[in-house]
Amino acid sequence: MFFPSRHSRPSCFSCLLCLWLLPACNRTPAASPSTNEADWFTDRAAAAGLDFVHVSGASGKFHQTEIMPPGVALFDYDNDGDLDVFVVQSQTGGSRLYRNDLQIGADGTRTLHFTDVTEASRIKTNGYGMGVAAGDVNNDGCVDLYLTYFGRNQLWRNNCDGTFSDVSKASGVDDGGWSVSASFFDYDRDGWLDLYVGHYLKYSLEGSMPCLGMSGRPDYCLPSAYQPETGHLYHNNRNGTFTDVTDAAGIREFGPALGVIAADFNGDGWTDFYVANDGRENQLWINQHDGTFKNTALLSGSALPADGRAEASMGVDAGDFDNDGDEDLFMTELTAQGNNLYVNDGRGSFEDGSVRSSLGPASLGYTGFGAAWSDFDNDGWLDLLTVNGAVVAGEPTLLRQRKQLFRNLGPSADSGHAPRFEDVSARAGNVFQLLEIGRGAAFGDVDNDGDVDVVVANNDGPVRLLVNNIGSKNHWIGLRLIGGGRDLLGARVEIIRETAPTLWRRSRTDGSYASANDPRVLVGLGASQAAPDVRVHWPDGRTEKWTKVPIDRYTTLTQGERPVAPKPGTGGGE
Amino acid sequence: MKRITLLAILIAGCSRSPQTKLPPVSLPDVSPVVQSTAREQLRSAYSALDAKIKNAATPAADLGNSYGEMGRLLMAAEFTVAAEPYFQNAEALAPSDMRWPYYLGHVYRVRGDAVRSAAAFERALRLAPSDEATLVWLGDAYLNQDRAAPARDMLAKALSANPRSVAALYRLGRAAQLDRDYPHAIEYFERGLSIDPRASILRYPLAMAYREAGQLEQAEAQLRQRGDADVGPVDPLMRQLDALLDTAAVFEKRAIDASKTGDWKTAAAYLRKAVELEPNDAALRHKLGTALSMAGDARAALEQLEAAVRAAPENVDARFNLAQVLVSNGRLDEAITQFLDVVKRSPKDLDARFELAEALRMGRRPKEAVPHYEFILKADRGRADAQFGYAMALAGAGRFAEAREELKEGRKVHPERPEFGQALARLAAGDPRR
Repeated sequence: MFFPSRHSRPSCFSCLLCLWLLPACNRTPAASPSTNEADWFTDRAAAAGLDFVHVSGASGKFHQTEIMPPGVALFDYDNDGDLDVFVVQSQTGGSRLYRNDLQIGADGTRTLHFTDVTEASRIKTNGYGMGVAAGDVNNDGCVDLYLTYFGRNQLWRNNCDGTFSDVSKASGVDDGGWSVSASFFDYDRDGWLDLYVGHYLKYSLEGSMPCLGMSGRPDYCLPSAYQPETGHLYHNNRNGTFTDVTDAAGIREFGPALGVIAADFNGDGWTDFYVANDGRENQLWINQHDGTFKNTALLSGSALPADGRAEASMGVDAGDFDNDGDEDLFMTELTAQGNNLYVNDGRGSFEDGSVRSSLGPASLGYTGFGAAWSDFDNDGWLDLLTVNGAVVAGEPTLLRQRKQLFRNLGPSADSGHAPRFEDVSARAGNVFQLLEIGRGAAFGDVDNDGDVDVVVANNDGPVRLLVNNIGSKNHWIGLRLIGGGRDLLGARVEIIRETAPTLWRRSRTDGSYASANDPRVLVGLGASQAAPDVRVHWPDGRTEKWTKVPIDRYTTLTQGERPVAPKPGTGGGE
Repeated sequence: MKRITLLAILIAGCSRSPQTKLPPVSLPDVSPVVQSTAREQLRSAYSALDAKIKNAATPAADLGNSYGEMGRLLMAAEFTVAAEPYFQNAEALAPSDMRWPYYLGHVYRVRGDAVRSAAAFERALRLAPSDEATLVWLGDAYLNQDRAAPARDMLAKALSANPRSVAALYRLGRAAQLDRDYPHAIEYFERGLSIDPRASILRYPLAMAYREAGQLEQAEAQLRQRGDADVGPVDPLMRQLDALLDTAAVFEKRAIDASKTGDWKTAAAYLRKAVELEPNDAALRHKLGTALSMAGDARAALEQLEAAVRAAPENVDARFNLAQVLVSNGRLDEAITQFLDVVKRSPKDLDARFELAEALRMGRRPKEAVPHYEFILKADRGRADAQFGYAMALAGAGRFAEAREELKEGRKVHPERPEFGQALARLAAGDPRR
């Protein structure tokens, strides 16, 4: 209790406030270094019309808020089959919606072009934007947007006609305070998406405390200088409104949340969620099947890294990197801490595999934010991409950092048969050499060519569109998992291969940092041309199996299309 | 301020080799350093170095020392990038001085460059083979590179140099964990905790080792005692950095060190110096007020805490401490006002609500205390102090039957707390408030 915060002094906020009121900035983005088709990834943002530049409004007063945004979403708002982009701006009216006008030539050539349709969409953002979450909250088949702010959050209902309506207040999810990441998932299996909103710090510009280093140099504070804010779990009432059930759900411990990811961590068929906290223990909320959750992070080994030191978890994702059928956790951390990998034993108990996998050592020199498991080369093993950028202004050379790409090398004898990773950033393309303040990252197949592309949102910098040039050289299957007219987030798929082990993947839009991802499931098959069988484990507990699902194309699997099969080992299914 | 850049030019002379090519050094922009004392320290040290660089007669060892001292000052001021070439030059000019590669090892460590950090510590170790701090930090760097075997070697040597090195034991435990050797991990962590039970950072990895060994009860027991009290090695060279700058932050750090040994008077004295340099800093005044309170100077503590609350009304911790000091001075009404403010700002802060309820009860306002106790018990029914206070408040409000039931339950649930039974007896005797 003694000496709870760092050195501080009063501050002024008028400059920041003024900048919020300015119209969106139209600065020309800095050009990427020369591009090369042989690169694994090529930045095509500017060429494709994604001309967004984030403006933090930093005024030299070291307001804590200005180093945290922005997030970015990939979602198909107009249901035309390709992913559109929403980028968060930190000034009123500045966030932008870009429609993807993808053209595919007869020879398969892709031409990407984005059109700014913000005005036509009627989305009017209001305040200092942080992040975005995407999900169809009213089951009308059109994806809605939830925007987080330093200030009051917004829910924009997609009207299915290219426009959105502000239902923030009417829906009851217009949280105030400061939130960054949020997650849509159906925790009670009623077929409607619920919402968890992670909140960060109790902070006000008036009470802002720029912290001084040992020399008396002002800088951004550690999060411990402030109290964490209370997060909120909202239950979807199926009528356009939500009820705050945080307390009733037993969620009474809160840290400064920056990342949220929902998945079934203990394999019981119910969706749990994990909260990545900045500088405090992370939380693993296990679904108790009765509307309540229990935080099992400590004993499960997912609260802290192996050395017991709380780290600055920011971006987070869950995925089956070792292909053993469960959800493993990855989160990004501060410089000198190293990113963390918590390996699931299938029952929701984790072992810190950060060092053994090489992911920790390879990231010690970076402060990571957006990140996700994705099989970039479609070899059947989940890789990782992190976007980086520090949070200390002290020495400017440390602030801007490169992105990192980690290739999953598969199991090896020297790592106890757990996969190791190789930092392949140097080979991944010139865009990986750019020094930027990376924050949000949204992952999805933007050009529908069967591999995962990435949209990166930089703080005080241009958005980047990292188009994947290598994934589609291998075979793949793409799945859209729908039911009740919407993507069934949380649905898990088994890709049953004849000559190789089964792969497990999940539909989701959450994870990364302050961002929303492609809900489709894209699975790399390597060189195999055999059409696999697919068993889907729907969020309501039922399972269905499809045989010989075609490869190298997207297939929509609709719940209820196939005879219901009992869930192996549970006797369930109905 | 215009950035000043210097090139360490080779100057032929009897004392320095003309072949030695030193990397260029520069004084970083120190204008953002708001405290003039620190700014001047950095500038004058740089000027002194500059004079030596320009003087061809400066002996190499002397110049090396000056580079190193400038590097130390920059490192103390957290200019770690800028410090690097100074230490490199110092090492080149004074290759037998282990301090310079040692500090370089730390420069790389804080930047997350484990490979270069290990290489620098290896060079330092060649010059001081039994230095505990170097051995521990080198072991640490190896662990961060997934090199458990050489890490174990270094840490075992550190333990030989100092058998009570909790820092070495902690890291040996981590190395054993990396090898999934949980019995040895448990042994190292337990040994560390037996030497220093305050090293609570060891509890979580120990709990994980117990869990992996199938001993869940021990794991849970360790988790309940977990904390963040870290353990570094005995590290005189790094401690010297703490004394180099005269800034508020440095005085604050010294105060924290003093408070850890219970020397609150010294802590308060350092914090007074810090407040003199940063008089508008509410957090510093809060800390000074707390230190003064701990040192027994309630009047001065109140003065500082009131100033802290005035400067940062939203700082609930300062307000909470102010209310506590007001209670200890018998100024209950004022304390209640402050606690009410804290609870209003942080409705789920059960500690503040408990203090408020207690103050209300002590202030003969039991009816007002009752709902606050109820709030606490709804959130945490197992809280004995709140249950007892609730029972006494009920009795104070004339709700004797309910008070009796609470006390009975409290006696049953908390048999280790005799006050429940004693109060029940008094209640039965008809004088619940005695």
